[in-house]
Amino acid sequence: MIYLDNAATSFPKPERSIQEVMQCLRRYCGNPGRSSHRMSMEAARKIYECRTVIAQLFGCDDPESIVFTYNATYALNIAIKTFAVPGTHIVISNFEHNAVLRPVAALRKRQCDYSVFDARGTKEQVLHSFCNAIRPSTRLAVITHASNICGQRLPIAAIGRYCSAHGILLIVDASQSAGSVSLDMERDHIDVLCAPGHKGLYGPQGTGFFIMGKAVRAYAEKGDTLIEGGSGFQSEDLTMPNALPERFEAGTLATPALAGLCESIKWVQQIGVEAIGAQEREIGKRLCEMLRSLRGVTLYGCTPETDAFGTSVLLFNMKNFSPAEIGEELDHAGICVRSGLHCAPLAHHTLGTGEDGAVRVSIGYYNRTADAEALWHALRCMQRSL
Amino acid sequence: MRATSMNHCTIAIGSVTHAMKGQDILTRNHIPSRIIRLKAGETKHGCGYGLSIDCMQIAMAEQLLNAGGVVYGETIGGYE
Repeated sequence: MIYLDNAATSFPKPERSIQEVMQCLRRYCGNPGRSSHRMSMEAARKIYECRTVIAQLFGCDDPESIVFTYNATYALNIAIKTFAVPGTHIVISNFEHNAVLRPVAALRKRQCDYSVFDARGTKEQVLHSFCNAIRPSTRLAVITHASNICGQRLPIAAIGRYCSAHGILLIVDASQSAGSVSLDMERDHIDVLCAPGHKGLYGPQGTGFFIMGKAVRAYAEKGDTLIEGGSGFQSEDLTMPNALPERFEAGTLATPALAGLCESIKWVQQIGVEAIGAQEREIGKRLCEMLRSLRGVTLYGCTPETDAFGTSVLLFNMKNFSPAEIGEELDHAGICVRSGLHCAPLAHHTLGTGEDGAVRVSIGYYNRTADAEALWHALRCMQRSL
Repeated sequence: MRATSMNHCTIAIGSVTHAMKGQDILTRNHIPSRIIRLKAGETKHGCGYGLSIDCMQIAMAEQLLNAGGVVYGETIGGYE
């Protein structure tokens, strides 16, 4: 089986991550932050360790600024709804996933409005388009670092500098870049960074988090909570404690999954984010060349030839086949890709793929050039079968 | 009371995350500590976690926790 659907969730996972999940389930899976017995404390210690490795990876000083969620969608929802005060104007890009678009649209009930800027083109063009979308009432920008349907990477540091200088809070969706592109909360002027644990960080599903920068923590400690419940301390109060991260972590955390995530992030750090990204992009570049050699193949969006190409995600369609048919045929050939709209209809509309969407190929660290070649062969066979 | 036994004092913290951060800071500064669970009646802010340390090192510990941004409450216990 050849797995080329790493933008949905990465596969396989590092062995040390799998082993740690098993270890946790077998040996120390107490409820973290609830008791003082050794299993509860060992579980809490592992979760704290996971916070520290995430903090290191994203240039954050304080492990308590990391709030664990079940995935990036939960992280984005909590962050957006915590920081969007009523009446705020929000700016988003035209490459956003529904994890951003839907919560932002839902905020219209709170008299929030939003504008969409065009994130295609060079860094300067994107920044210009972003600045044009800003209004006097803009207080929040929610922007993906990298598209989930093509290789487009947005100039987050430049946007962050602008936001920082103009009092606009920046929430970054790093779902497709965390683990393969360098990100630093301070350097890139990011106020809140949201990411899944199960994609480029190679952790188990059921893990995600958001990180709050120094400037927003005081507000978060007093802001409204979306979910209330057990926190393990100050249990007599009717409200969630102010202290981060527990203010946003009601209920029991997914200890085995977070234990696995902790080890998978150490694995990422060992190899190096830049090295992982470079290897994936190299295979992406090769695959792009191969796809271009096939008649009737249309590649969409940012490709390796362009400056903004920053990830290893390719999007295409092939004449005479629907995206669903291509996905099905490739599955028969033992190749996993994802076809359709990828929960990003706005981004598909931006690229003009049509109502059926397109086929996405997303490369991970465990892929080799031979996988790209196998895909190319399978597509060529499909064409010849007509 | 457990938290005030002999020459050990307990710094009430609440959050287990902050207690662990505090313990790491103290360990780096050669101050041994133990994370303990506190009952609701033991602190002003209800149940939670605390750091049990030698009372002789309490002033230094509090200084380090402050510098490290660890949120803590009252100190319980001392020499009796």
